[in-house]
Amino acid sequence: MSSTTENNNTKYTTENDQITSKSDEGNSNANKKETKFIVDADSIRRIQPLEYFRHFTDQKIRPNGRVFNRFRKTTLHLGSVTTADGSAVVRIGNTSVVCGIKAEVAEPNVNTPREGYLVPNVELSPMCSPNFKPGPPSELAQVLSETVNKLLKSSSVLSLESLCIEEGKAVWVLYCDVVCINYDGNILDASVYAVVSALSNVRLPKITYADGIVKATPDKTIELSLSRIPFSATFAIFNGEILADPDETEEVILEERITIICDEEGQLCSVLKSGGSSSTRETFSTCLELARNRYSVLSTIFKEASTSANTN
Amino acid sequence: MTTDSIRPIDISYSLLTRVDGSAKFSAGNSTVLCSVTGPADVRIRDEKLDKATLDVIVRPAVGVAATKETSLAYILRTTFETVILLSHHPRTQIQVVAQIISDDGSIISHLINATTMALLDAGVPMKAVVVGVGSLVDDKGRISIDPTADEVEKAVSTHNFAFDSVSLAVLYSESTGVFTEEQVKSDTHDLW
Repeated sequence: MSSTTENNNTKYTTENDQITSKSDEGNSNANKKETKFIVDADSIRRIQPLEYFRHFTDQKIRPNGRVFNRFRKTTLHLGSVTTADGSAVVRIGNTSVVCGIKAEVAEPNVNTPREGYLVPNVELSPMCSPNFKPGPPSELAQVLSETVNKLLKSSSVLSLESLCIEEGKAVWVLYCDVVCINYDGNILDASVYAVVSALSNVRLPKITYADGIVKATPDKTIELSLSRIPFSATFAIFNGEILADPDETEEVILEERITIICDEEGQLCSVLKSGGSSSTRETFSTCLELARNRYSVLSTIFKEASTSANTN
Repeated sequence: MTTDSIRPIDISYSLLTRVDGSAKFSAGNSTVLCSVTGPADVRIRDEKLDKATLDVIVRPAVGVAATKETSLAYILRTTFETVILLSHHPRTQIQVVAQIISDDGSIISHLINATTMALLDAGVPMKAVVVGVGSLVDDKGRISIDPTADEVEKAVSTHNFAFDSVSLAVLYSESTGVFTEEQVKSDTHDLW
């Protein structure tokens, strides 16, 4: 009484994925036939997603075939959007986002005459997932924009004063637009990676300010000086087990999540935890260590992408 | 190292008559008024077959709700969804409206506390009582809890936590700024 079902290259065999019931009706019928109702693995997945998930985690594997602390394959391309002043294309598994940075000149706020503006915005259109509806930005999109904004401001990734052109007269505004092309979970990691990488890719023209007129040279050469390069790592917590880089199916069933954002010196820039209380201090320490490992992986990819963007 | 004095707390219950539960929570000059309605009718779009839908609205002290308020509402919702026994009232809605009356720092922790009080007042079944607290690390490495807006402005990093009264585990935490592993650990250690 066991069945084998192919699912993402993972063989799923268990006694429990079949529910067989005998039909007691129709005894008047001459040929007493047994009627079997077989519920296969795929139906269990739909009816009891959490239970289905538990069957896998008991075997120390996830339904998508990854082991617990494995992140998905991550790629980064810098400067592929030629119309933007800086850009990055990030793919984490099937999640892909594009971040384009557009620089404009504006008047500074009267209270902060030497500070420029950094305006991050994350867009989740119906194109990337059927779960997103057209119209004003969804709750998730707003929360993401706010999180990225908080990260950039509170851990001062880029000094806003470095965006000053002429005190009280003209400053740079950097619009960091993140567009999700394909949504398969862990959008925060992808967005942070894209925004930070795109910021490092920004080349601004040389600017001269005279008598209220801002003049820019045609060639764009000036890089932004980033004070730190933070990258993010997200973990879903399931019964105290740490599942790195949850995809969309996992996100739906696992609500408890820890995100750790650290910089190149190992300092923490942000720790976010929400949606449950099954994690302990040990869970947190393990996540931190995994986040540091993840940082070095992302850092290598980032360096490779920077070199190939500079040679082109 | 820790300044563990919190501002004087003032809580009043059932100030509003047309809702199922309400509470006003203030600590120093931070005040939040929170109301709870439910279990009540749910919009068909939001209906869940196996549990109640928790809807949280955060309203700012001045101006109209923007990204920041949506973010606060999201934090409240994800925190309380795991604590309220939503499966006791399937196909209904529990609505929480939190009005910030004045914001003088640590507002998210006061929102959490006010929501807990209002839910208790409404008699909504919960697994545990949620308590929120804000804290910060200043430029001299000192930790202080329940900071004011001025103190937050000068902080190197801020840390907000919500704990559950039964397991004493961290339900929600948010740390921003630049800090080390030891700082966040000693910070949670003092509170956890």
